Amino acid sequence: MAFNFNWTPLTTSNTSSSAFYSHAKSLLTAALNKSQKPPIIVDDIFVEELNLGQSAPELEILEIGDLAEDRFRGIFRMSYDGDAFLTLRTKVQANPLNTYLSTTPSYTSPMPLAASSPLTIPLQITLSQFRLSGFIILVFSKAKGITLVFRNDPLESLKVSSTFDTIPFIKDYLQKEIERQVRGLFQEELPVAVHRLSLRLWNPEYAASLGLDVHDPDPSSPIDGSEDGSGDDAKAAFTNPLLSPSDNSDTPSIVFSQKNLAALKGLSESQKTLSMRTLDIPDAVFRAWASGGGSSSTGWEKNGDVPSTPIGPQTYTFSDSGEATSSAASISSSRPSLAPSSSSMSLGGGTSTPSTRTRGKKKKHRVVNLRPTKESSDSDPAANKPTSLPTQTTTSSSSPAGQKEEDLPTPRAPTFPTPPQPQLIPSTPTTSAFSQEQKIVFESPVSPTSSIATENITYPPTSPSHHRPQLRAALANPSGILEQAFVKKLAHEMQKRIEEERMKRGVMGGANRKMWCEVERELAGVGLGIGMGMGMGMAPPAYRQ
Amino acid sequence: MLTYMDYVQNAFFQATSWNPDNSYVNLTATARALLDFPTPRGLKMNISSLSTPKFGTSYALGNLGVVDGSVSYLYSSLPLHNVRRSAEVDLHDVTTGYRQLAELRPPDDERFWEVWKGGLRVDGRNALLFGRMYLPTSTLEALYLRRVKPTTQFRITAVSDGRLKSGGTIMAMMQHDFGKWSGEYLYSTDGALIGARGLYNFGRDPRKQPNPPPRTSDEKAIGRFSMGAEFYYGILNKSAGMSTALRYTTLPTHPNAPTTMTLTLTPLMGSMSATYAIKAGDAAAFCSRFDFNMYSYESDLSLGCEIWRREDVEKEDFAGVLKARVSQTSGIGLLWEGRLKHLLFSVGAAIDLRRKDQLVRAVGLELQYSS
Repeated sequence: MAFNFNWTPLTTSNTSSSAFYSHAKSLLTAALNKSQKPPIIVDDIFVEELNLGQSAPELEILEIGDLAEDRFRGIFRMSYDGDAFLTLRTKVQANPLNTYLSTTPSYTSPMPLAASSPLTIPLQITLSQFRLSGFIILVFSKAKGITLVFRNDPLESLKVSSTFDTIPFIKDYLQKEIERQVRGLFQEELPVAVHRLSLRLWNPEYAASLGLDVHDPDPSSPIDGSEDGSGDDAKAAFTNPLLSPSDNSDTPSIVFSQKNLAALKGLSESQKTLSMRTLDIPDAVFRAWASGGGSSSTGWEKNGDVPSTPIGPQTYTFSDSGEATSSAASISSSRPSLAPSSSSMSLGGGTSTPSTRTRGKKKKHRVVNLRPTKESSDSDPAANKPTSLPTQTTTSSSSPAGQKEEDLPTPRAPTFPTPPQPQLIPSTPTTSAFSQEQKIVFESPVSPTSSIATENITYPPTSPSHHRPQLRAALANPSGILEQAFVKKLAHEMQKRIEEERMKRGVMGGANRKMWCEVERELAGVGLGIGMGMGMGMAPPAYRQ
Repeated sequence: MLTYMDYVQNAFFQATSWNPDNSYVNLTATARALLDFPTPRGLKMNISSLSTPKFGTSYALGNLGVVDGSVSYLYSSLPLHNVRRSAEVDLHDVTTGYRQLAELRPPDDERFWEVWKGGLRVDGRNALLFGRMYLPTSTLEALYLRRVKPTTQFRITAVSDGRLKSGGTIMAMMQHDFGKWSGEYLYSTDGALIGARGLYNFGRDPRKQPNPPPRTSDEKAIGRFSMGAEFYYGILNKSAGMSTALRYTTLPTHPNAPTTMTLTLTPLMGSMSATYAIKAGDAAAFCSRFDFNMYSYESDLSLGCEIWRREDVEKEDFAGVLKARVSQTSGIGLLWEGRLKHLLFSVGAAIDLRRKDQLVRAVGLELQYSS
């Protein structure tokens, strides 16, 4: 998944971009002059020119570890190969002895007669041809702000040209020194700055301690976005409102194409009708299934219409570290119960296209249990009403108030399906009628004879004690459109399923690609405020498991 | 105004017949005294005493910051009988101004320094030890000065300060003065800086012609040309610096007003500086300086003067001196130094006309008492 930046407001020479540039220049000038400068710099540093270039950086989601209305955690891959440049102007002391004397104590100074006479030279430095490539770990929590960390050194190369280009010694020195500074900027100062800025925006106490206006901590505003790619990455969207065109700020945050809606509708229908036809979502894969067993194959490339490219590099893992402490306040407290389903879910679809699998290891059978287990029905007292079809409209899919937050029970042993018992979680009175919550329970190992839907799924053995994160969608935007609500709910369910699957040791036989596509689309639209393209790049070796 | 400890050090130089003027560093001493004099800042008090001819103490208290001060001790192996109390000290000895250079004198014959007792040589080398602790910053300054030979002086200065990079710095310097020429070689632990500087006096060699020839009426103006250079190289930071300078000064036997002219060049940095100073009578001196950098075209013109005020016209006694300077870059400086009863005082201000918001940069009063 990649981001689609709307870079044109920065490249066109309209008033907003010039306002942005002048604002950015003044911010940068202030930041450069705030800290104590080395003694060789004898004047303020001015930002002479700043241009972000014609091309946008590429940002790609590698992993979303946690997603809720008030928190987010993910890993991105960023690469930039554009034509941005920055020109700085200052004055430097060209006499090294003068600089030396300014730092040495006067009592032991050699007190030269005139050898330390100053010579200030105006210096102009242009930084251009940035080549950036790095992994960004972004953790957002409304209470703790944004934590942005570069996992590696993002700076690949950088061209420094200055007034002293004709003197190789100084040119090399400047190149080396500025590269070092820029690396430090990315790895140390930028995370700190982003963190402070986010605290200023969302933490009223911190902002009050600074004596600043508290930005209205509207939960939806920072994560609202639209698919037009108006935002930068999540950080920029949060911290730099200038990057977001103002005309998008109040539009509904989710825009679905007719095609996708139709696909989703078909998917929904297939669930109702036990159709064998399963729609697929292209270019989306859940990494834990695809790569959990090393080179083990999964049932992902079913249907044969996906190019048989190796999917290993394209897969992602939902991080499972540090998630155990995530707060329970979530919209996902309403547990979806399993909707009537059939093999048309074709999780993995291994049986349908076994011949396309060439990398498969020994396949295991999985059963999609379409009936509630006893455990789940016990633990979920609300799930005792017949389910109805999820076609009702909703204005909000957010958490029903008062619903008990409870993790779904994880079946430890295969539970053989009982006759379908539709479940219904009573809808909360505060929200409108959408109460159709479906639960899909995957159980394994499964006897193929016992299930309605039997799938051949290969999944890696994993340790049961491993705690898995929960992935939750933030569905904060009310919408009166039926399809929109439905899609939201569907995406919600997808996440439930992820969650359940993660609890069950990441053993997922497969899923409908289209569903995953929509999940990610949902995440993009609701959680990140950015548009996502469907391009998937090659994951780096560090992310291949 | 010189601090008491600087005054005692000068007394030590005088007692050991060391001529600090014959050094490249002091080639432009006149211009610096008239154009670059420091102005006091805040209130500062010094109480000093040479309790014995060999041991002196000084306490300073200031209000820079909250309260700061320093405690100094000095030991000289040579009894310093030429140190005067503040009530009776000659103001010329404790202030800097136009420096009238004397005729060069040859270094002492080493045999005169020998002291024999019972067939054994018992003479030692005179040394001076000095230490000053600044409070509350806990900065320690130390000085060790040793007259190794009549032509040689060894000098070690050290600063200990926790805020410095390696906790402190030591500089060692060997100084030679042969009259005709002098040289200094130094090493500093800060950046492993090495340096050398030398001064050569054209004209008579005092070692060969100990006494100046009698002046004849048809002889042209009597003066002295001196030329010198300095070179520094920081081994660790691989940086170098150098300068060269030329000076012409009239000697006391010159019939006209004493004049000093210098020309300083820093070839690497492209800067040059020319000064001209003249002493008009006993009570006034004027100086001008022009700085120019041929690389950056930066220039500066400085003017300064000192005017002495007589306490009593007949007694040749001076009550104080007013110094003033004006420069394009550093603004205006005013300083009034004098004696009030037993106290030496120094009042000054630095004014920068270019900054309207902060016209007066520094105002200060410094008081000294010594017994």
